[in-house]
Amino acid sequence: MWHLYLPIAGNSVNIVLIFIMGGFVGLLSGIFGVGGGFLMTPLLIMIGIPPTVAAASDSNQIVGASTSGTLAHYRLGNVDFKMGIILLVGGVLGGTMGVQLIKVLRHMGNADFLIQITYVIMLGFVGIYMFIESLQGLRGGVETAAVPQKESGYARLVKRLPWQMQFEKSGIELSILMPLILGVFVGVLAAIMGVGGGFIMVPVMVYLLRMPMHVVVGTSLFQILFTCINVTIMQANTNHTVDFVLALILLIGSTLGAQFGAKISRRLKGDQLKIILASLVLLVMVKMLFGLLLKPEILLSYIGGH
Amino acid sequence: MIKNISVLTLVCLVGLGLTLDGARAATNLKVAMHPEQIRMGAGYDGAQVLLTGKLPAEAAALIRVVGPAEHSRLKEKGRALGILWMNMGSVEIADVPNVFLLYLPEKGGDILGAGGVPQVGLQGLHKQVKIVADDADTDALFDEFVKLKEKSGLYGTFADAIQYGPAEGGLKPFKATLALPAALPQGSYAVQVLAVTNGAVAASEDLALEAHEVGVPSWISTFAFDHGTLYGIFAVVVAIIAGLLTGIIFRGEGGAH
Repeated sequence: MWHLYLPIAGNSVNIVLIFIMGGFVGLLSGIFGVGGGFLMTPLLIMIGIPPTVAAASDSNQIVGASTSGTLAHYRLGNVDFKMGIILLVGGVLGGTMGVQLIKVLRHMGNADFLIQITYVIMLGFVGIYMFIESLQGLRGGVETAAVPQKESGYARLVKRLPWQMQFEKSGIELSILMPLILGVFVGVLAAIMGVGGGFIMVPVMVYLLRMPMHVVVGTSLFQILFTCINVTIMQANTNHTVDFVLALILLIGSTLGAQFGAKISRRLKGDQLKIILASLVLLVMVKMLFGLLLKPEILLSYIGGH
Repeated sequence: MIKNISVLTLVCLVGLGLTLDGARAATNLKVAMHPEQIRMGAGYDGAQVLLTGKLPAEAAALIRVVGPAEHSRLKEKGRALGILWMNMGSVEIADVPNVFLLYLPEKGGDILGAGGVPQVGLQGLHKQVKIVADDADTDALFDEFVKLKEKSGLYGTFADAIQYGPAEGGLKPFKATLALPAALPQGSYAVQVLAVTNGAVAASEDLALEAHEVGVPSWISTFAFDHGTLYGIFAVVVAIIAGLLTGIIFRGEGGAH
C-alpha cells in the first residue's frame, strides 16, 4: 500500500522507508554540514535503485537539504558567504579538472581501483586526524578553534602569500589564494570520488583555513548547495538519471532532518561535533575497506556504479 | 544495424525450433491470458498475470517470459595485489534477453534436467548468448550474470507455479499465476507456454505481453528523456522551494534561535 513506482529508477519503493532514510541523512547533514552523499547513495543502491540513478537523485535531494540547512545556519549567523563563494569558484575549476582526470585514468584502465583506494586513504587520514585532535581537545576541557600552538612553517607560508583579505564572519585574515587553491583541491577529489565533497571540505576549512567549527558547517552547506545544483542539471541533461519523485520524498525527509540537525549542532561543542563526524568517517572507511577485502557475493557489476 | 539483424535471426531461430517441435502435435493449447497489458502507473509494484489453458494429459507444462535481447556491459571483480577485490576486467554479453523468467509445474522439479528439456532453460540460454571478456572462463561469467539478474528479479525460476486440473478426454486444464517483478522494464515480452512430453517440446503457444508506463510515471519519463535540461532545472527549483518552505515552517514555530 505504501509503494510508489519510480519511472526513472524503473522500480517501486516503499515511501516510508525512503522518507526515514532521507530524515536520517538530513539530520547528519544539518549537524555536520556534510551533504551525506557518501552515506545516502550506498543506502539507495541497497534497496534496489540503480547506482547511477541513486547518485544523481541524491544530488537532487541534497539541493533541498542544503537549502534548508544553509537557511537555518544563515539565521544563526553561521555562513561566511565571502569564503563560500571563493571556495565554490575553486571547487568548480577543480571539479572540471577532476572530470578530465577521470577520463585519462579510465583510458589507462584501473580507474575504479584508484577511486576506491583514494576513498579509503582520504577517509582514513581525515577520520583518524580529526578523531585524535578532537579527543585531545575534549580531554583538555578547553574548546579551541584549532589555533596553532606555535607559528609553524605552514602558518608562515600562509602569511607571506599575496592578496591578504579579511573574512569578518570567520574572524580570520587570509590570502584569497588559500581558499581558491584548496577549493580546486577539494573539487578534484570530489569529482574523482563522485561525491559533493562536504566531508573533505569540512576538515580543510577547520585545519587548513582555521575557520571556527560553527561557521565551517554553514559555509560548507552553502557551497554544497551550488555544487549539487550543477551536478543535478548536468546529470539530467546528459544521463537522464535524476529521479525527481525519489528525490522529492528523500528531501521532504531530509529537509525536516536538516532543521533538527542545525539545532543539535548549535548545542554541541566544536570538539564534540568533530569527534562524532570523525567516528562516522572512520565507520564508512572501515565498511569500504571490508568491501575491498572480502569476496563479493556477485563478481559482476553493471558499468556506471561503484 | 548488424546487432539488430543478429537479434532478429536469433528470435526467428528460436521461434522456428519451437514451431517445428510443436508441429508434431496438432493440439492447440488454447491459452488465455489476463491481463494482456501491464500498465505501470504510480501504484505499480510488480504484476500478476493469470494464464489458463489445456494440454495433452500426459504432457507437462512449462512457461517462459522472455524479454527483448540486450547488450550488457559489465565489470568483473578480481583480486588486485593479492588481497583487494576490485573491478578488473570488462565483460560484454550480447544477444541476451533483459528478462528471462521460468515457471515450472507442480511436482515438475526435474523438467529442466537431463531427462527433460534443459534447452529451454538457462542451459539453452547460455549456448545462445555471446560473451566477450578478458576472462576466458565464460561458464563462470554466465553464472555470475544470472546471479546479478536474479538479484533484481529479472531472471528467476519459480517451482510449483503451474497447477493442473483433472484430465478429461485426453486433455488436462492448467492454471498459472505469473509473478512479474517491480523492476520490469517497459517493452514487449513473449509469454511462451510449452507442453513437454518425453524430453521434447510437443506443442507450444506464444502470447505477447506489453508493459508500459501510464499516468504520472509516463509523464515524468517523457519530460526527463525529451527535455533533459528543463527537467533538471525543474527538479532543482522544486528542491529549493521545498527546502525554503521547510525553513519558513520551522521559523513559524519559533524553533531557530
